[in-house]
Amino acid sequence: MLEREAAEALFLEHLGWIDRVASMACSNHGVWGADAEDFAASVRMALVEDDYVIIRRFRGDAEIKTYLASVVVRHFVNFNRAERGRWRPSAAAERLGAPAVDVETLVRRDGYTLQQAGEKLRTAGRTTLSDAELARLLAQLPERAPLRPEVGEPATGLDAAPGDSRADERVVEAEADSRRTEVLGVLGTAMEQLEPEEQLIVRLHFAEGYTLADVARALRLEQKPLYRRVDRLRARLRTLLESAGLGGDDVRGLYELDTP
Amino acid sequence: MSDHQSDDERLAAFLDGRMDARRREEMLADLNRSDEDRAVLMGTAAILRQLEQPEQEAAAPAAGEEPAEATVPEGVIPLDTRRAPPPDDEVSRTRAPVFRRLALAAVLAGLALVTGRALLPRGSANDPVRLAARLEDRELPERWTDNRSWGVRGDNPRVARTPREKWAQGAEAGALLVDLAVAVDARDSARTHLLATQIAGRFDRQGGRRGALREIIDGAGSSPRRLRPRIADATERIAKRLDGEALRLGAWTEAALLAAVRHDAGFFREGDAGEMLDRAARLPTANARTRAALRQVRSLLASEPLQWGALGPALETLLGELATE
Repeated sequence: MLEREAAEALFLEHLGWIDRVASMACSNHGVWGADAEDFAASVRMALVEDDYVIIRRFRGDAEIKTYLASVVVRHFVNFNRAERGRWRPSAAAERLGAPAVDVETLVRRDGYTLQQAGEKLRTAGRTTLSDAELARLLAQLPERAPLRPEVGEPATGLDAAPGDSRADERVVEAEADSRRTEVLGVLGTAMEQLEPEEQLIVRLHFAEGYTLADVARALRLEQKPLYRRVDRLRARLRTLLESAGLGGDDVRGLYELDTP
Repeated sequence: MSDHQSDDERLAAFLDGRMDARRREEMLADLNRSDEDRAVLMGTAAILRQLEQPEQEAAAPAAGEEPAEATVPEGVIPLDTRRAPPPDDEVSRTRAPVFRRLALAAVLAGLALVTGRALLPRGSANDPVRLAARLEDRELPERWTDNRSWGVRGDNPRVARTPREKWAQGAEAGALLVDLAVAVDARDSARTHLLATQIAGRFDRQGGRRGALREIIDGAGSSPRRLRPRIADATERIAKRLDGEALRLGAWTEAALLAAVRHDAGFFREGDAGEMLDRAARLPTANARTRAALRQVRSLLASEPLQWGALGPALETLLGELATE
């Protein structure tokens, strides 16, 4: 284990890098202003805690910069989950750019009115758009229920009361849930027949929506052969699912196997 | 944070490629089991790419390859061509030695320490070379250069004189330059030759005789690292003669079209679509048909799930409107 002094020197030497990674993690996920500052402070605090224990435990199996980046990103993943729940901007907002992500987050997640959100964004220098322009942007985004971090309290009062959906609707929903569970079970079995690297490619690309360029980079694979490999994987997975009695409609919503 | 330290070092070793085959297999199995580890892996890989890119771009060129001629990273050009050309002493400064870049990086890092924010060098995100680099599949589809509705019109094109003509030709040039950048990246010598010849004939005859485009025509199929700066040079020359903003918007639309044809969702995750469509709508030359095309593209981009089948034709229509004189 490194000495405290050596760990401190590493920390100071890489402080700029740590701050850049923290800033980039926030920026990539639409976290800004006071939230981003809180996160940067919490990262520094965590790295200094217990006489730099995180850095003292660094064994040298990887580049120090890569190690620090992964420490910061994990901290961000946990920080983001704790502070913001499991909210993610809609794909449509991400496509339309930062103002759409920001206004969606403030209005749909945090419950601000459009005027409050506009004021907040303009004051923070995040946008120069007027409320009317922000409203037009928001109108293009899919409606979503507000999502708050789970507080772990049991539902009480009105929250615990039965919903007003009709009995036949609930039966249809239950059947759909049951079918979905069945499909997921078959899919899990099919996935087990793939190599770990293939499973990971399928998860990252089809289920979690990362581009093949991102997957190739993270797994250190050649990008060009990966396209052909993914085509073969898609065909193989489809065959496995069909042999288990599932059709294209069953799996389309899960892994988009019909995508050419 | 401390619960995962050993995981983080393993993960970092995985990202650095410092694992033997057995440890790598174990890591892959762990990644399949843990949503959080996958999020950390992909988040870290993305940030490393974003942060390390400027460092790599600042590094000296490989042996036998030409150095880039500008301060901006290889293949990335400032498209604000309205500024005056630099005086000689400034030219010598723009051929910055590595230490000057490092000094700049140190100042930026210092500022980042003070402000708690990273200040990163930024090139134009909408130049053809950089747009081509955003595409997941950097290869032109078959027959892509055939029968484009806005394609090259004759061997003796009219010189653009009115703003509308400059705008339309700028958009067309931007689109063709993106195609050229993709062809260069794919080392597709036939289409590199064809596109560079077409661009020279339409927009930069002098460059086609003895300038950057001539070098691309003669060097078709050679190292992308060598040809990308030439595309940047050609882009800058053409943007000066026509309209830089139109060129950027034409280039973005063509790159978006290539992404749509290949169902490349990653391209649209950059989040610049809204801004680019807004800018196109604000142009004084945008007419009712352009605005209708913009509305259609915007509405398709907001749809869930993304309707690839409709998005491609809508972008093609938009490009046709942008490039019509």
